[in-house]
Formats: sequence, C-alpha cells, structure tokens
Amino acid sequence: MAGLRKRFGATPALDGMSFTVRSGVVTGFVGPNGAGKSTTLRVVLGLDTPDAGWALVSGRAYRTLHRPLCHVGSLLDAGALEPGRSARNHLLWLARTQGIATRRVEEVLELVGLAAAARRKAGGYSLGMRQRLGIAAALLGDPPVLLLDEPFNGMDPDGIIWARSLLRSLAAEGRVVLVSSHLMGEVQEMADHVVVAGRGKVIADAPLEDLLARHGTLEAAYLRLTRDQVEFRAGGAA
Amino acid sequence: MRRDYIEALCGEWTKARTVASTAWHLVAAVASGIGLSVVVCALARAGIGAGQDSTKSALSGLQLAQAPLALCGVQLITGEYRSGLIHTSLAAVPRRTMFVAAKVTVILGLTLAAATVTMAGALLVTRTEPNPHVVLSATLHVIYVGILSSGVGFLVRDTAFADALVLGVLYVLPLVSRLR
Amino acid sequence: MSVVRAEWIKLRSVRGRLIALIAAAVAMVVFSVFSAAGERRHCSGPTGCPSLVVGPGGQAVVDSYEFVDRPLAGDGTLTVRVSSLAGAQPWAKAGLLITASTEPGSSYAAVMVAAGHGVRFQYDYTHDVSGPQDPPGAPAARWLRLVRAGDTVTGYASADGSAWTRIGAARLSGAAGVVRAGMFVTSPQNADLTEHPFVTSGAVLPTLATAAFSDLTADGAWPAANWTGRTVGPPDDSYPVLTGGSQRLGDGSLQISGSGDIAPAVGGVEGTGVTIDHTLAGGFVALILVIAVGTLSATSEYRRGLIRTTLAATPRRGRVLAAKAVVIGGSTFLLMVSAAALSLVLGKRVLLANHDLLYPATVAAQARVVVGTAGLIAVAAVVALALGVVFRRSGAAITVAVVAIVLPYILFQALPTGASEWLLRVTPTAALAIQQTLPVYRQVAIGYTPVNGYYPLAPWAGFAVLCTYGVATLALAAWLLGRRDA
Repeated sequence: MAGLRKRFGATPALDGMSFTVRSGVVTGFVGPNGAGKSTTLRVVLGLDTPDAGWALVSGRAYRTLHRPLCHVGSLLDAGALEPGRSARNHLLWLARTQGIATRRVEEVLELVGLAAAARRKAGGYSLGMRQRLGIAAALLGDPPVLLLDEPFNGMDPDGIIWARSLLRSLAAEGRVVLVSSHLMGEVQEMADHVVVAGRGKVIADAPLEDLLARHGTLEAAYLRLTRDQVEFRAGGAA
Repeated sequence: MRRDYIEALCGEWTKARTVASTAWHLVAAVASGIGLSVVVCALARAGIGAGQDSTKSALSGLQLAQAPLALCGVQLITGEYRSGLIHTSLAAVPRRTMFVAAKVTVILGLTLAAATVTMAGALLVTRTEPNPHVVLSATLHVIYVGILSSGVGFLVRDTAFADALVLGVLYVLPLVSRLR
Repeated sequence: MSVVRAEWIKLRSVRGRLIALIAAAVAMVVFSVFSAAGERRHCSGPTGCPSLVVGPGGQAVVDSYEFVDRPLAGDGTLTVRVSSLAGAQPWAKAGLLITASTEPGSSYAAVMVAAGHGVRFQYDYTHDVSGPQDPPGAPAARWLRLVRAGDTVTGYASADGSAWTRIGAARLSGAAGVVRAGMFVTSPQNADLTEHPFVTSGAVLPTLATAAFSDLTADGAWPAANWTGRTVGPPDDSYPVLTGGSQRLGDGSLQISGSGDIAPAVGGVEGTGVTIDHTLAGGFVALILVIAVGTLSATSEYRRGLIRTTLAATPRRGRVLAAKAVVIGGSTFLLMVSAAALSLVLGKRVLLANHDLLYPATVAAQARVVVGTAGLIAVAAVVALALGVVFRRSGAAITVAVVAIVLPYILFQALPTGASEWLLRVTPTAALAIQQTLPVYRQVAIGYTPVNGYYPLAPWAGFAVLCTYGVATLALAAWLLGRRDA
C-alpha cells in the first residue's frame, strides 16, 4: 500500500498544502495557474525544499530513496530534453542511474509507441511525442507511484484516449496515480478522486462522484470552488 | 527604405535596452576596463615605464573590457535564437538584410559607446595625455570586436559556442600566432 | 558508478558536444603543428644552420672559450696565478680547465675566477661549486690548481700560493687516456633588454674578457709539447662570440682574451633553441573548446529543465556533480593526452625540419609535459562545469573560466616581471609551470622570467594551484546545488 502525505508551512507558493493520495485509483489534481500544483510535485520529488512541512512517498522522504525511479515515476515538463539526444539515449542514461536493464528501455519505448522514432533526435519531436517520452521515463522503473504534470498537453485525440486508458489500467494494477491537469473534461473522464488546489492550499479533496453529485460537472465544481482563488483574470467588460 | 531601416533600428534598440543583461555587460566592460588600466598604469609607473607609450598602458584595460563587450553582442543575437524570439523579430522585419543591419548597428553603437566611456575614463583617471594614433587603433579594435561578435552570433547561434569562439579569436588566436 | 555511466551516456549521446571534444583534440594537434611550423630558422651563412651542442648529461649546453693547452697523458697537476681579469660580465671566467677533448660538449672540470662571483669549481656544464669566500681587502690575484688522478679532477684555490683549499672534485666521462689541460678565458653574452608590455626590446651581444696568467707550473705525465692557443666552440653562430686570442707579455705572463660561455643553455630571448612546450601551442585552442563543452554539460540541463529529471533520478546531488566531473574530466584528459602526445611527436619533427635547435628533454620530462598539459585542460573543463552549475548560464560561466585561465597568461606579458610572477603564483594560469623543462642555473645570469619560459612555481606546484581552484569551484558548486531549488 503506497501512501503520500505532505504539509507545508507559510510559503507564497504553498500555504499549508496537505493531502494524501490513495492507491488503486487515478487522482486528479486541479487548480488555477499559480495554485502551487507544480511546486507541490517538485517538493515531493525533493527538487525544492519546503520552508516547513514534509512530503513522504511510501512513508519515506524522496531524497532518502535508493533507486528512486523504482518507487516514484514522474513527468514534470515534457520539454525537459536535450534536443540533440535521441529518445532511446535519454531513457538509457536514466536507466543507468537506477541500474535498470537496457531491455526495459526498449519495453517502455514500445509501450508508449515511440519505438519507431526512438533513435531520432528529441529536438525534432512534436509536443505529443515528447509527452509520450516523458510518460515512458516515468514508467521506466515500474514504480508503484506515478506523478504526472499536465501529461495531455499537446496530445492529439488518439493520444489522449491512449493516455487515459493507460493511466486507468496502471491505477487498476494498484498503483498511486496523481495527474495534474487544466483539462476538466479529461479529469472527469479519467479520475476517481479529485484534489482541488488554490493559492497553495487544498480547497477540496473528494471523490469525483461527490463533486459531480453536488455541482453537475467537474468544470462547474472547479469554477465554483476556485472563484476567489484565481490569481490572474482577464479584465474588461467580460 | 530609409524609414524602414530607422524603424527596424528603433525596434532593435528597444529590445537591447529592455534586457537587463545588456546593461550588466556594458557596466562590467567599463568597470573592468578602467580597473585594469589603473592597475597596469600604476605598475608601469612603479616598474618600467621608460620607452613604453603611456597611452598604450592607459588603454590596456580594453584587453579585459573587450570580453564583456563581445559577449554582449553575441548575447543580443543568440538570445533571440534560444528563446525563439527570432521568429517574432523576422515576422516584424521580414527583410533579413534590414534586420541584420539594424542588429549590427545597435551592437556596434553599444560597443563603441561603452568603449569610448572606458577609454575616456581610463585616460582621465590615469591622467594620461592621449596619443591619437593609439586611440585610433584602439577604436578600430573595438569596431572589430563588435563586428566579430555579431558575425559569430549569426553564424553559430548557440550562446555557449559563440562565446567560446569569440573569446578564442580575441584571446587565444593572438597567443598561438605570437609564440616565437 | 551507475551515475557515472549515466553521465557518460549523456555526454556521448549529444553529437554536437562529442564533436566539439574531438574537435578540441584535432585543433590542438593542428594549431600546435602550424605554430611549430612558424618557428622557421633562416640560416644562409657559410657555416650553414647551427647545430645543438649537447653535454655529457644529455642537456643542451654552450661550450665556447679561448684555450691555451697541452696534452696530459696520465696523472698531473697544474698550478697558475690569475693576476688580473678584466671583463664587464659578472660571469666572465678565467682559470684552469681539463677536458676529455676540445670537441664542444665534452666532459670537463675547471677551477676559475669569475669576475663577479669569486673562485668557482665547475664541471660538466651544470655543476657549480663556490670556492672560499674572499676576506675583506683580499688581493685581486688568485692562485688556482687542478689535479688529475685517473679520471678524477680536483680543484683547489689559494690566496698566496702556499695555503691551498680544496673546492671540489669531479669524475670526467671519456677521460681515461690523454686529456687536454690548460688555461681558459671566456665571457658570456650581455643582454641589454627593456621590458615593455607584450614586447621586450634591446639587444643580446657577445662580450670579451681578458685575463693575465703567471707562475704556471705543470707536474706529472706531460708529453713533450708546446702550449697551444685555440678557440674552442662550434663553427656556427648558435652562440655568437667575439674573436679571442693569446699573447706572451713583457713580464713573462700570458694574456688570454676569450668570448663565450661554458654552461648549460637557457631558454627565452637569450637562449639558442626552443623548448618542447613550443610543440603544444594548440593547447590554448583546445582549452577554449573544452571550457565550452564543460560549461554546457551543466548549463544545458538548467536551460531545458532537464536538471530536474537528473535530480529526481539521483536525489544525492553531490553524487551527480561528482559523476559529471569524472566524466567530463576523464574523457577530456584521455583525449588530450593522445592529442598532446601526437602534437609533441609531430611538432618536434617540424621544428627539426625547420632547423630549429630543439632542447633535449628526458623521457620523464616529456611525459610530464604531455600528461600535465592534458591534465591542465581536463581540470579547466571541470572548473568550467562547476562554474556552469554556479552560474546556471553558459555566457557567464564561459567568460569567467576563460578570463581566469587565459587572461593572466596575456596579462603577464604586459606586466613587469615582479607582477607577472605574482600572477603566475596565485591565478589558475600557474599551471603552465607544468610545461617548463629547463631548470634555473644560477651560474648563467639571464632573466629567469615567465616571458622567457621560467615560471615562479615548480611544475607540479603550479598544477596544484589550478587543482585548488578546481576543488574550490567544485565545492562551491556542490554547496549551491544542494542548497538551491532545482
């Protein structure tokens, strides 16, 4: 059973953000720009240091994990690639840091449908292909926990459907799957549980069914819940 | 035609002055240049001095100031390629020659302005009577630095390699060719 | 170890960076050879191109003097009084000399009066022993004695010709049979040089010294022969000399005028040849390229956000930095060792084909220069990597690395000697000392300055200065990397 807990003190980005993600279901992580979603994920991964509070994965701090990619797979920014390096080589160096066999690199490339383009330079990839490569990197260590930041950006409809079913099946295997997204329709289609963040705090942490029962659609729930939390809003007559 | 050029020039000037790195590069050039000139002049007066043109000592700070000046020029060009701003720039000024001319003019202007301040400052601080020949050759060298950095910037496009190439041409090439 | 392999994959899988590294190695060889090819020596005189005089120790030497000698078949003693020595050079010498032969570069031992350095016993060019100190008000005249027993020659000095002080002894090589023994006078060239930024002007001119010898006695196995005067030296202008000679004076003493030196050859403007570091000039070009690659291996990860992927995969951040340093430093070092060795081999051929006098260096010294030059470039790459982590921007990191390593090298040529020696002690450029192959000889008075190829620090001490900078920047980078949010 994998669990995730975190709490932060008073920072501008995160203001007491605290929630737990369960395994076996897909959890949607939504909130307006600047709500602290990406910062939360970076803190979980030990990249940013919180001023207060802690984040644990399977009961341990990320930076103490041995072979962390076998515990947590993550996709933060699909554009974080060296343009001159091929997808295969990108996964290969990641695999080496974890002692993962080269065979696994070929497996995940096959799994995300990049096997044919694996030896091309990543700089020539479309955004959708980069997202697939990012998902492949997250799956490399076959981790029980997956943290994905905006994995649907730039994907074509086929890709979105593929990613949706992939994430659902991964959750069904008993993994923790946390997906942050701005696409309410996608989250509604895919998630079983939703965490809504705003201004560095959790506004709602509820099963999708509860939110739908109360507000009709996730989009309506989101707009209602985040009405006072939006940092940037278009001015003028609208 | 001329108005287009002036408009392109205004655009480039605005771009250059609204990036903080431009000002930092120029300030670094002036400060390091005058600083080195003062040190060299003090040492020259204490140690050698005889036979050496004092204007040369006073302007030796340009040896150091040329680095930030060249990097400023490179940065103004490669920065556009890195951020993709180049597409916007070329959409605004579609005639490539016009764009390049405006860019090079701004870089040359900034380089010369900073070098003039450096030279004037160094001559004033070290109280050196300028020798016009030396000042002229130093000015020509600065123009060369400006053109070199623009050319390398447009050709190489990658900041790191363009920087390395310009610094290599400015510092290392003379070494390799001067060794006995 | 796995992190090191991962960083190696990162390096080799970006073609541009790999090409830049290989280009650095190629550039090193190409520029080195071109630079060596530029050092052409023009010699059109009747004597042809000068050749190198090599002493018994294998090092380049100068061996030019005026000699009045006789053959000595067995053991023997030679005693003389140097009644006067007139020469402007402090190292003008007059005294007794026993040599295996009068071929330049032969093994010898000599006891002498040096115009500004008292009585000395010198042998085989590099060895110099100081004689008894002069008491105040000592007479200008000195008594000198050389004793040969087998292949050993011992030198003595005396103020009055009766109380003798032993100064030193030497075993000569190739001096088992007949040797030449007699009186000699020589006077080294005078350098009247003024330092300017980037240029040293003035002239290096030969000088002449004149000495008077009297009370000559020779005991031992001297075959019947007359004292014969001759000018010893190579028949070329590798060390320009004035015409010397000898004549009997009215009071029975012998006056000898000589020009030249019997000493190790030195580097720089007053030297006759070039040192092997002149085959490695392309190292500076390689240095710049390698600095760019080292910087990029850090800054490109920051630019793309890839550093987050790296640190998520290896949360022990110090380990990531160490792996990067090992990979960039190690691969640069291996490439540069081969490039430097090839540059040395090709550069030596080019220099010799150009009739340049290439000073010999031992295999150990050549290996040290090659390995040290490669090490210098590799450490510079690691410094650039660390600066890349510190600044997270390639422009700033490259500038600081180039300015810190290359600018002092340019500046020291523009500064007076004191300031430039100070620069080469405290800046990373101190590492260039690793390329010095000529030792400092106090019996040859030249400017042992950086411009002449003599560095203020010992080779590995200079290299250690650069390594200290490397460790310091790495430590700063590790501290910042661990402390900052990625």
